[in-house]
Amino acid sequence: MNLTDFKNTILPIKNKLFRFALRIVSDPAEAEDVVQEVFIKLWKVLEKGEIIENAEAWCMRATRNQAIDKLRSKHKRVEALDDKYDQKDKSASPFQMASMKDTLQHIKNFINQLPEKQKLVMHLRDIEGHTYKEISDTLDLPLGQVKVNLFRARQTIRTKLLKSKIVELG
Amino acid sequence: MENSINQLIEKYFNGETSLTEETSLKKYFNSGAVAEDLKQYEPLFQYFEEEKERVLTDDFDQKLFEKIGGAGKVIQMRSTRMVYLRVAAAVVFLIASFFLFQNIDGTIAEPEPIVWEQYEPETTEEAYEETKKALRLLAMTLNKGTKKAANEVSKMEKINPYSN
Repeated sequence: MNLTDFKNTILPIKNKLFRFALRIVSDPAEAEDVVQEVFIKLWKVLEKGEIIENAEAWCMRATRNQAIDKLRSKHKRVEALDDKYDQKDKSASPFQMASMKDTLQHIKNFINQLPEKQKLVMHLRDIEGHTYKEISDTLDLPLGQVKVNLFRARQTIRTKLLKSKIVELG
Repeated sequence: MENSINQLIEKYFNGETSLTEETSLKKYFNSGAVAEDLKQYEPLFQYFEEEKERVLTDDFDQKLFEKIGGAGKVIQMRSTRMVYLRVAAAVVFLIASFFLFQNIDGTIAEPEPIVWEQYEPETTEEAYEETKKALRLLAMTLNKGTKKAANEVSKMEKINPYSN
C-alpha cells in the first residue's frame, strides 16, 4: 500500500477513531496521539507486506487498546500526584455543580459515568451507528453481552435524565 | 407521528430498535418540532448528533505524514545502501582471493606442507621442559578465571543486603 492508497482508504476513518479514543481518555490531545500512534502502527504492518482484511475493524481495536494503555499510564501519574498533595475530596463542589448549566454537558457526564463496557457500547451504537456485530468485534464482547450492556446503559441514562430534569435547567 | 415516536422511544430504551429506527429518532429529536411530553429526551439525541461533529485538528494529516513519510524514506535508504554494501564486499572478496592464491606467473599457489617433526623434542629434558611450560600456561589461565569469579561473587555480596 502506498501513501495515496492510505490517504484514500484509511484516513477517512480518522475522526471516528478520534471520537472513540476521546471517549476513553477524555482528553483531545491524548486522543489525537492515540489515533496517530494507531495509524503509524498500521502503516508499519502494511509496509511489511502483511494483509489486513478489515482495516477499519483493525484500527478500532487498536485504538481501544492504545487508549486504554494511555489511560492506565495517566491514572498512574494522577495517583502519584494525588498521593503527593493528599487530595481528600475529589467530588465536584456545589459551585462546580451549579456552574454546569450546559444541558449537553450533563448528558456527556451521564454517559461518561457509565461502567466502561456500557459507555463504549453506547458510544459505538448511538454516536457511530455501528451494528451489534461490529461492536462485538471491536470490544471483543459476545453479541449477547453487547445487547445487555446497551440495554443497561440506556436504562441508566433514562433514569438520570428523568431524575435530573435537566431540560428545565438548560 | 407522536404515537409512533412514543413507541419507538420505548423500544429504544429497551434496546430493541434497529439502526434505521434509531436514525428516525435522531432525525425527529433534532428537527426542532418535538412534542412537549417528549422534550425530556431531546437533549440526549441532540448530544449524539453534536458529538458526531467532533473532529481532529486541521494539522493532523500533515503531522501524521511527516512521521510516516519520514519512516518510509529511512527504510528505503537503508535497504538500498545495504545492497550496495553487499555487492562491494563481494567484489573486494573476489579480488583479494584472486591475488592471495595466485603466484606472479599466474599458477595457483600450492601451500607448503608443514613439517611437524621439527617441533618434536629431541631429549627427555626438552620434553619435560615443554610439558612444564604447557602446564604453567594452563594453571595461569585457570587462576585468571578463579580470580574473576571471586571478584564477581564479592560484588554480588556487596549488592545483596541479605547476604550476611
